[in-house]
Amino acid sequence: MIKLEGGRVYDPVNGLDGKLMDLYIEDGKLVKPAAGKKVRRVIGLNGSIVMAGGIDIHTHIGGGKVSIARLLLAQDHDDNRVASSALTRSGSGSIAPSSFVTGYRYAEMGYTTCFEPAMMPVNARQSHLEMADTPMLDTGAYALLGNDDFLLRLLNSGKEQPLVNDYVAWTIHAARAMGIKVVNPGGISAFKFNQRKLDLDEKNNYYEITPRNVLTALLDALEAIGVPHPLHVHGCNLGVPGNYLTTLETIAAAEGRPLHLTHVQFHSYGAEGDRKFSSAAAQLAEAVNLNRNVSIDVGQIMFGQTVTTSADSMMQHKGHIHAHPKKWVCMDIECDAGCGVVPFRYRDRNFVNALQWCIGLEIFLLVKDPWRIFLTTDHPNGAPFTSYPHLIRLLMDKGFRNDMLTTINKDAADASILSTLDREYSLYEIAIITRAAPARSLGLRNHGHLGTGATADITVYKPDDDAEAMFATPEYVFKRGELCVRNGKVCAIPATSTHVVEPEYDPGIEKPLKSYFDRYMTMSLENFKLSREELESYNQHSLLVHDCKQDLSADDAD
Amino acid sequence: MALTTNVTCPFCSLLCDDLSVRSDHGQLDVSANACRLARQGFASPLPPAEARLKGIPATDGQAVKAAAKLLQKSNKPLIAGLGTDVDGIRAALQLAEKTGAALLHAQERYGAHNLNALQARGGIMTTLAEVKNRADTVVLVGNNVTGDYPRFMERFINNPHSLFTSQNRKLAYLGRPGRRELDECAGHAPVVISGHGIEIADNLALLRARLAQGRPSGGSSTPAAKTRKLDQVAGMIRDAEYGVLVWSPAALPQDHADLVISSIHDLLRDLNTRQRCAGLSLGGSNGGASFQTVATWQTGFPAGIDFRNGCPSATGADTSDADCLLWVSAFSGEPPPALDAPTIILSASRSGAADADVYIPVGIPGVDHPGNLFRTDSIVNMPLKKVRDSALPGAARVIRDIISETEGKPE
Ligand code: SF4
Ligand SMILES: [Zn+2]
Repeated sequence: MIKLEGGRVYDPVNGLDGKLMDLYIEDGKLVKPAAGKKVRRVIGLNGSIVMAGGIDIHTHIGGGKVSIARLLLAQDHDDNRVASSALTRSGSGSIAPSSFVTGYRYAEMGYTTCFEPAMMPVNARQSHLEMADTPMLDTGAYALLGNDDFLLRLLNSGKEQPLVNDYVAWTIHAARAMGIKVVNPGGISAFKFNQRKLDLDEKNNYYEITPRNVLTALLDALEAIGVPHPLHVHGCNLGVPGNYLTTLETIAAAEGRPLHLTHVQFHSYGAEGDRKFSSAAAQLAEAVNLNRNVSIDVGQIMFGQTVTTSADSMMQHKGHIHAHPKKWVCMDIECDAGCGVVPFRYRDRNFVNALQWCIGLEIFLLVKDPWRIFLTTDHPNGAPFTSYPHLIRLLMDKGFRNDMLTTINKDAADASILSTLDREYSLYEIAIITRAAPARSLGLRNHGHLGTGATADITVYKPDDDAEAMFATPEYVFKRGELCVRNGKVCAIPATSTHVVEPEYDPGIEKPLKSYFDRYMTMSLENFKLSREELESYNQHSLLVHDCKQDLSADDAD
Repeated sequence: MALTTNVTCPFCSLLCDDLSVRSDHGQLDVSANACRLARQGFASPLPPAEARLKGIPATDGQAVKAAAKLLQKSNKPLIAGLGTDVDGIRAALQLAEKTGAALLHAQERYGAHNLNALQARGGIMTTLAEVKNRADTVVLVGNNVTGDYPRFMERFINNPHSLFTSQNRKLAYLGRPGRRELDECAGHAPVVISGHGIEIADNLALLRARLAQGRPSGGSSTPAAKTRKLDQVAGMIRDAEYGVLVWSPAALPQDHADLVISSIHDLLRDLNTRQRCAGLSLGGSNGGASFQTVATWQTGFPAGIDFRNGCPSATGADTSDADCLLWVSAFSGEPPPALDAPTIILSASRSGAADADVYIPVGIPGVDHPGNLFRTDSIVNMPLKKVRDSALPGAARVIRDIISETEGKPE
């Protein structure tokens, strides 16, 4: 047993708000001290801050489009080469770092679990292979549906919902996923038919269906098969001024069903003002506050060079005119989805970029319930994940935030209500939006908290008035009870797992699927499916299967 | 006699997975839809499971030790060929990192043409299922473009079933079609604009000008017959619902391949402002697509990687100064190029074994052991099965044994 002595524990799942206490670790879990259990090692924490390991609910770390991004950012990789050590592998890159470096950097910030949000089922092998090469982290992924021709044909022919449910559950198995994401519902398909925009109620040129039909079918399916994480939605009209109306309509379309709106900053734009671009953060936050079925992650932007990488080929193609440097890739993929990769530099002196920065922060500060908002930059789309400590300081430190506000485009700063928002996140709230809430949303019972029986993924920070410095360099990080980061540097490479769910389905779905694959696809149904055994063979990754149809209230967490 | 179905063929980067393989005491019999490359590949004789040191039989353990020693002694080791599966490539990258080696895939000089264009300006690409189901107009660019991809026409152009297109897709050819290609696409009455060398790039530029301006222009020097064909092809592309330009870097005039590929991308970028059209490149067989993909995610660099300074760099592997070569050829078993330096061969055939300092036989991925490979479009990764009774280890296993040996740890 390891004893962590005298830490101030921030564990919102168990209602601990900085309580000074000891924690005990045995066999990778948090345990109660008991007579007969020997303490092998005592680590004195002297009042340092203790939280569960960080959980990133939305970060692009695995799959084809990330590698395309790396190819386009050759200069960044040249400029940021990382040598190997006796312990760690080499790599490169600061924006979309290579896989090993990604794992080390996340762990060095105190994160222990990351979810790739846009895994095309046909690209599942690559996504999981790449994540298996991302050390230090447990990983998982959401399978993309909603632009695949199999589903669009089902909907187009008016097939019954149970068939859709079976297909969705089958896909989660086939791709070894943790949930389902839909990107520009039906819009990636529409782009293949040369449509350049698709509103919520606009029909596909080929199929007699609309994004609303796709959304509804997937929302119903996830409810029916009991996947804990709600449908992860990247809505229509990403980045378009005035798109907040679409976002509000999307919330309404959910009709109370659980819905997760991702990188909502990119979907909260008004079209007011001289430049026909304005913040609709207030309207968005009001809707989130009112609709308790809705959760969001923000997709905060930060100033500097990054790369936008998305399955939304339609909107990425449209956005290519802003590419910096001037190169970009669009791809139509396998009647499954697509992707677009556009390097981009956010500039603090640019009105639109500066206002995007404000909009993200406004959303963070206006949404009241921290259990329904998660900290993300949509890595690398808004900014690389390494900017999280800076973002946390912006949320916790009003003085710092207002100082930053004076450095950005003045018209944008004037147009934003940011300077009037006094809220400062507490450590307790930061623990919610970076660990506890993502874990609850995903249905992870043993992660994101420090109760007895929880997996001992633990991060210890030395208190510092500068929250950025504090969150950038944890004193200790434990992965499954193993000390793996000391003073912000990797000191051991722990074993990791892949998180999946395995909802039930009627195997009869394989009959229409087999005939579809045999006629139209370029591989057999058998080879499309990624088996448990195959996934486990990648770097001896173990699988963590989470329950479906579970009732996740705060009190069953222990 | 064991029959395995849905077998993925590893012998070109189309990775067809509709083969059936019957195994009878190490003899493999493949189903009728296997092409000549597949039949030849699956018929490769199983080499004796016996390592060699300078041509003399040795145990695997001795061979692994000798290989590790040579690599450790070397100042500028080179790991080349790299004809292996994803796991073999992962192991090779780790060994290169440990020993400060450079890595060079045998297909790299072809892949480089695509990378040059992509890293300069990007591109608009598509994948095989989109071609099969969506492409109503296909333009092949180069000479005998699909020659090394024998079932491309059968599976993706002459496919009996398609989600969105009819049987009579339109076809054009900029370059010189192969005889088999011409036979196979005869039903589509392809418009062929032949041309050699730089002419292929010139013809692309003429097409682009026509499509950009929407009116014929061809310079006075263009013969009337060619002008007519150019107009015809431009019209086909303009009317396409979903057009695809297909090329293979190896089937382009090598002196002008970069220019041709960037001209294709320029044309595609123009076209996509108003219509849908995308590119498909055929390449990356023998683990080439897998090497580029895995190397990119593990190191950030797609090709020409050099670990000589402890971290990866893309200095472009100038391999002439290598003082030790590890040659991996698990598919074709071809011998390494002559190099005046100690040579270690991990190969699925004995060719070159007699001259090598170390030779260790390895199995063929997808024949002797399971694994996976990336397809020509670099997005789809196909699983490989073991279909032959053999005790040969995969290259990944042998390379990891060499790594353990360099670390002084017994496996
Ligand atoms: S075309 Fe290529 S993958 Fe298909 S059977 Fe022939 S060699 Fe194998
Ligand atoms: Zn995203």
